[in-house]
Amino acid sequence: MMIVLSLLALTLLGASLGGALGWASKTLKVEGDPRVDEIEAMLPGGQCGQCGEPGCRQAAEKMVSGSLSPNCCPPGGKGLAASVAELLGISLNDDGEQVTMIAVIDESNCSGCTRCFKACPFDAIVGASKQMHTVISQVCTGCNLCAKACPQGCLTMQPQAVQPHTWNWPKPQVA
Amino acid sequence: MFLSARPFAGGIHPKGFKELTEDKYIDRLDSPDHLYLNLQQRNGAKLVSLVEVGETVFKGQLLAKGSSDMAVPLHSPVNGKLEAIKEVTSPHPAGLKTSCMVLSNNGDPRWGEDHRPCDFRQLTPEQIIQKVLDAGIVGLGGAAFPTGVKLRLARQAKVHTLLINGGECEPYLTCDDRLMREQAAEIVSGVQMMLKALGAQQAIIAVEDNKGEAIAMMADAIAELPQISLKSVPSLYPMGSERHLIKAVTGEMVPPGQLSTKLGILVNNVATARAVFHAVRFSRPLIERVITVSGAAVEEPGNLVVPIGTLVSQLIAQRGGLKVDAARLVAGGPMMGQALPSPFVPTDKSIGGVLALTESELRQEQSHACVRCGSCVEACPMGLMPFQMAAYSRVSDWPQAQHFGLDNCLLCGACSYVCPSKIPLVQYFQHARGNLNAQRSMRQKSAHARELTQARQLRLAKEAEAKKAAKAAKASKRKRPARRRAASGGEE
Repeated sequence: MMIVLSLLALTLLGASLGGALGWASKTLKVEGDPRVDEIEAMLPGGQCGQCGEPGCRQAAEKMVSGSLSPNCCPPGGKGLAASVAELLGISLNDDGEQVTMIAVIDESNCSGCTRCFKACPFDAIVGASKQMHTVISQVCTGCNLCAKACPQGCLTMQPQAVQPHTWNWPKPQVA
Repeated sequence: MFLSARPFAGGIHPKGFKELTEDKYIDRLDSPDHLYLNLQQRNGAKLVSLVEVGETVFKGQLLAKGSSDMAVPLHSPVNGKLEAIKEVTSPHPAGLKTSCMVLSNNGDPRWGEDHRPCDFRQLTPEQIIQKVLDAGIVGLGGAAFPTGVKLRLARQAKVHTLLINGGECEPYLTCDDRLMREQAAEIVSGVQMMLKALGAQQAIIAVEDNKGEAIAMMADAIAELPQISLKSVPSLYPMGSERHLIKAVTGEMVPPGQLSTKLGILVNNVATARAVFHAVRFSRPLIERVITVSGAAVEEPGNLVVPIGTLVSQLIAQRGGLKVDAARLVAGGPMMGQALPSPFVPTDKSIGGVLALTESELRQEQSHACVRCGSCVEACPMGLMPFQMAAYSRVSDWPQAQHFGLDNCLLCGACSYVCPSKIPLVQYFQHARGNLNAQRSMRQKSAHARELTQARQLRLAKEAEAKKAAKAAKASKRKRPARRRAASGGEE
């Protein structure tokens, strides 16, 4: 009698727990890592592909899985790298001075084909058909998409000039 | 007992070197041939020139202005001509070039427009503030924050006390001291105008006790004004810091990360008060200021009234030139001033001193490892641990440096001054702060970029939809006309 009762109890227990787990695995299922969404929201979203990924979503996935470093995104720069590293709880070695590149149009050679203007995901280029185009340097993230689109070869990426208010003291060189 | 006598915790007593210049009358600089007015301000704001190259300008004419009140307008300090707008080395430690207006001077000292002296009692506070804004006045103590903006914000914050900073705690500098001795009445008039603009009840002029004559002159000037009082404060560096002056005068501490208006107090420099007097009384813009030219390498140290935009080399030449080789040129005081890249840079509104220092006046360059002596902690007027912040800055751990109070650091240099290992603490802090600022602005830029792409995608989607709708509308409407056009095409 005792054996029958305990067998029954254990079977019931097993069946109910298994059922609960099965239900939970379906209804409480997590689609991917929530950190991917958080990181994707931080990225500039230009889908420029400079990190080597097809888009920002894929870059965020790779960053979470650890196969891509947080400082892989040139448009995001140091600020983005620091916030991503903080979110993922990893340390960054950002001693290397990062130079911000921005697009510069040689306006005298611009034919006004509007290709760069159409390629810019940030609306950082102004211009119209058969008119000279120019880059709004404060908005340009240096994503390089326009340089690929320019048939004239008059659009180049150049390091952003240091301004007195953006210049920074170097780290003291001491023994 | 000694500790209780201190007006605030920390601080140092650097050797003053004020005797070099404090007993000489302020001289006027011989009219310079050329002036260089910077179109880019220290906060990054850019000004747009209102005159064409080649145009004649008169003394006091508005030459350039910016898009907001934070961009302070520039006026012509001389009668002459706008020769060019070109890139000129700026008084910045890295010697970066900025766009400058180059003016030639015809030597005529008269003002272009004469204004009838104006009685400030008949002006509304807003009119006084507007006059201060139009005159392009900035804080002449060194921070160069637009005074009009400061007055307006303080008025909104319902400030009750105006504190006038006659601290001048930096060694060598005596320009405020001399100004108080020679122009006490003008300073006091400026204070009265600011009081009216603010709607504040009282003004306190605080002067360090090593300036006995200045205190006497100021006491005379305020004798019949019950609203204004004078307070002598102990000389201790950094007494000229807003927070520390407030602590010394009122005993109250401004909470870290807050402004002094939180306590209902606004602090302005004595030289700023005088500039306000000229702006309100005579509608004269800020086109010149007093600059101390000192240091052991200068032949005859002294104070000069200098038009904004004069080359540093001309200031030194007027004081007899250099008698020995200058190891370093500094704009401002030796504690917080910045090294100048060359003598051929123009002065601006924020420079109150030009020092030519000899090798013996400079600190040894060779630094050693930190010995954990704690001197910097004792010297820090903000109660921070400089050695710890420097250690984190050295390994680029900005968040930890921030945790130890990097944002509250005044960059006053008291810690570097006392450090027995000669560690360049302040440079570490400057470096760390610069990096944090760069990160912050990158974050803002990237957030802005995200907004822009989202807006663009929305716009493209809308455009595509509109196109589709238009096409559909055309297609449904156009059955017959389309055929007609096809027929006419066929006839041709």
